[in-house]
Amino acid sequence: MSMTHTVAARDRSLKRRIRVGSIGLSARMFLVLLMAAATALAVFIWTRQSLTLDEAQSIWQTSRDLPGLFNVIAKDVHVPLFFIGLHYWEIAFGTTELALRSFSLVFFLVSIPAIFVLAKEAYSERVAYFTAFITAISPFLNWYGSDARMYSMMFLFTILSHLFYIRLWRRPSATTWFGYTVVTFLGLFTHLFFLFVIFTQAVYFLVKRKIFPPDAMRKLAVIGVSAGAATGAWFVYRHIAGAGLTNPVLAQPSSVDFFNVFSNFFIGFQTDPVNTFYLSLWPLVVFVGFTFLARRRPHQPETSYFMAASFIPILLAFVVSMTVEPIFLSRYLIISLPSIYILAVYFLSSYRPAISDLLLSILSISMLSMLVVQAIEPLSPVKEDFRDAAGFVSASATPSDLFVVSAPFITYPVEYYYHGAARLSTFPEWDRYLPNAQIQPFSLNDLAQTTQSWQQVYERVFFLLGYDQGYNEKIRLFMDEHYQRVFTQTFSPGLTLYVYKLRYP
Amino acid sequence: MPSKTEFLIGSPRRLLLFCSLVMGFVYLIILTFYFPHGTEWLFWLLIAGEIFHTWQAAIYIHTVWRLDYRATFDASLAPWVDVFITVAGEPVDIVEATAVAARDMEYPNHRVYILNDGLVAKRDNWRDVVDLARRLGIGCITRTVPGGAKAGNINNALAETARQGFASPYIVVFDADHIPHTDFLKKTVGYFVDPKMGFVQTPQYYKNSNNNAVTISSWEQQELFFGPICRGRNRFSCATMCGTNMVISRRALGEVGGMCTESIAEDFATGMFMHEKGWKSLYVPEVLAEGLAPEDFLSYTKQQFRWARGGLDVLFRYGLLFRRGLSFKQKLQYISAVSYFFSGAVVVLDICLPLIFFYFGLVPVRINTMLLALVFIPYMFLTIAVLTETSNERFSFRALSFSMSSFTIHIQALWSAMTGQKVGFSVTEKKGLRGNFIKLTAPHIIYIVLVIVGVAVAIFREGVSASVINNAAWCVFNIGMFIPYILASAPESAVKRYMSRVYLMIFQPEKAIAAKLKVAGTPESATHG
Repeated sequence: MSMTHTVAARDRSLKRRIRVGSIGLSARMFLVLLMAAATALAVFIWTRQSLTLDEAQSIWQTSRDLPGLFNVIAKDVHVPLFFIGLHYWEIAFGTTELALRSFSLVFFLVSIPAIFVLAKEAYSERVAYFTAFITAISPFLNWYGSDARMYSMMFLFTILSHLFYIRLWRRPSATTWFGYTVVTFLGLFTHLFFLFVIFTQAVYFLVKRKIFPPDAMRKLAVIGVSAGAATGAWFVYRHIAGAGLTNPVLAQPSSVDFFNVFSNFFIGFQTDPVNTFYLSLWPLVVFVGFTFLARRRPHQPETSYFMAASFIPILLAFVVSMTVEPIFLSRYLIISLPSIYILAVYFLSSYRPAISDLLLSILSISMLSMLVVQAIEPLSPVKEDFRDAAGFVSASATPSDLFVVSAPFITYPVEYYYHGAARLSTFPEWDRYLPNAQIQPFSLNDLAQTTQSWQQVYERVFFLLGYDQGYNEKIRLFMDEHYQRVFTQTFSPGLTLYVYKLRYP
Repeated sequence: MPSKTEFLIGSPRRLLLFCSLVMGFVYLIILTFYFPHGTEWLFWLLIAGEIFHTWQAAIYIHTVWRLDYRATFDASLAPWVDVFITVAGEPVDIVEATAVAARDMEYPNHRVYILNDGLVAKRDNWRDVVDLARRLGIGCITRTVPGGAKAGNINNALAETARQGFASPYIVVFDADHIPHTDFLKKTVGYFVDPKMGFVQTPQYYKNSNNNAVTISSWEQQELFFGPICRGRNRFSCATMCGTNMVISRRALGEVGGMCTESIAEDFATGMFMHEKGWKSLYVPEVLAEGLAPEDFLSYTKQQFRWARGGLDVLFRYGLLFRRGLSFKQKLQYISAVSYFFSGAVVVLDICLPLIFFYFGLVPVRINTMLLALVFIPYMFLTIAVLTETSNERFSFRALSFSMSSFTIHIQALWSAMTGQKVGFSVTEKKGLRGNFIKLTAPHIIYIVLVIVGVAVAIFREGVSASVINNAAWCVFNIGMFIPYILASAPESAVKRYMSRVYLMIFQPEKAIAAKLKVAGTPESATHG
């Protein structure tokens, strides 16, 4: 009896060792180090930046009870999972910038070991180490890892989805199927772009059916139908709630926008000259393609899957944006990032050691240096310095002045920071608290009438123009023509304060 | 030893071929009609080059569209066959291995002859070859009157065997270094059950291809040709006659006046003449004989020049475009084969475009470079995918590098063919020549220098603009393509030594320092110290 017990205990211990041993001690230490470094960067740099428009909108949306939260989310373009999480996180930790952003940071930090496991599962430990490293130093991920939005959460769920999906053909088990099902639902309710992940997986399954277990078709169909039903239910609710009332207007993407996705992924958000420099090097991508694809080695199914997962969502989003409605934003396409990073490292690792070491070093140094530049460069295009803008107006404006923001959306971050004496308003006018409140379309006549009414009451107007919806320049030209501009300051790219004298006291 | 089967299998997905073809045309159309022109003459030169690329891609896809052609085969067919081993001074040990293997082929009715051209080629070992034949109990036909090089040698053997009254209906030709497998005849002769079959060709496999950079690249180029291209041409009964490892109908050869002696690519021209007379041909995708690749850079260069010049002769001397007898599809295949040798001129055009921008600020099209990238990158990646898939993953970067870098050879061949210069046939060396052949890559090295100076000139003119960066990236692309070729031309030991030193300095500096200290600590150095 005792002997049996000992053997069973030894077996359990061995199994545990194998399970835990799949990531060795040195790898675990390496991952902890990376996570610590990412945390330090987040705490000392990223979380200290001004809240962006989207983040402030998150606070506004989550600062209500659950039915109210569902209602405002349904009116917006997104799905509710992240906001539910953030709602309870705020209750627990408050709404300071650090507290808000640390919710996203958790997902980013967990993504580092997760992508290590995925890369190791698909390829090798060497690929896993480098992928985890470039994930931790990625300027793009560091930015969204400390952004109070759902992108780092979506990144993590995409990694897990890839992991379970690959295991569906490598080592299917009840746990794998369960994991895949759960992640599919979580992903779908994190961001609607997760549909592209599901679509890619469906296409890949149809093309490579033979590598999957025989019952995979039935199980995937069940998951697909139930996930579709759940998503459908959300869409019905959105429709009832008045979906899309607060949709921002996105521009149709250009060829530069298309490639900016890739430059954002690798070098983050840089000023135009730096970004142009990197984008202009695109012939080297073709060269690398020649050297890698012609390497006389058969491609694993994981490689073709990652290629599909990298490019299908980007191409689909681009095509939809060109033909139906613009939806092309690099942050939405974060679902392509895990596979792109893994493929990049895998490609570069497959050369002879000397060349591979050199190329991986170049990649790492480039990304690291761009991370530093992104951190210290005030003109980085993604930075939105509402804090300084609102602070400046708080200090300068008096009760006889008016503070107007346009586009109206930017009232979210402005009101977070603004504590001044002048009244805060938007143009076009927008009362978010009215049921089915919609932003009025811009018209010059309205602007003329509104400014006349302002003139009766206020001496100066502080016009903060940002997040251009196509009429900021028209506002500036009108105001310049009719009123005396007394002050101008740009706080961050695309965010400028104009002060006009409306009348003399 | 490289795989003997992998390059001969695989069938491409037609959807991929179709997408690649469509993308190629889309790219060409957008480039031609959508983008605003820059300097007009540069624009049209660029378009001419792109039309050439599209033509090559299209004809390649047409060729490999189906690779599953099967010809009728009768295993019981066993007519008499004369096996000719062409020799012109090759080392006797190499000839002996081939002759023994040919003699020992498992086939009831074959006679083996060494066609000894050593005497007319003024090689010292011609008597040794005669002795070898006597020792092995095989025939030896030694020419005393020169002319026609290898083709003349074969024609002489045809006449001699006929005169002796032993004219077999089929002949087999092996180069001196191509050792046949025992089943060579069993697996080829059966195809002559078709009375219109003119010749049957098998792959020209190089068993020494792992020896050095030249042999590796040389073989990897062959893999694409003897893999999908030759397999695809079977559909049009348009196999390429390669001069060795082939079985030919004596009657068919007689109808075209024997092997063509005027061209240095006698085999290619003879094959075409047979096709014109309505004879069929077949490529058997199985390695049935194993030969030697050129072992050194000079031999490789000479071989490539001979093939290029021979191919171009078919166009310029024999007027390929205006000849009658070939079917439309066969003519397309021949034009495709010959037009490959024009690629040197197109490569020069492509690599010079950035230089023209650097030095003169002229561009062929005025566009946002990212717009071009949006069309060009998918086109290129689809092309790479097609090459990779049709070659069953055997297509290599080195092969591409050597093909592109051979532009110097192709231009030289094109010039000599257009001006009708007389070029003698030279046998590819069977043993490697030692030496430094870097001067053969002087144009590539000069290009690198021109790029470096050009980038400086352009930066001086307009600063670090997007155009300068983009053109510099294209130059890095081109130089990256040339590097394997340039390295192959340098003595291998020197290249290896230098590369390992650079690697140590970058990645393991402590080892590099230790190695230096060790050298410094040797008694000799200590004495000098």
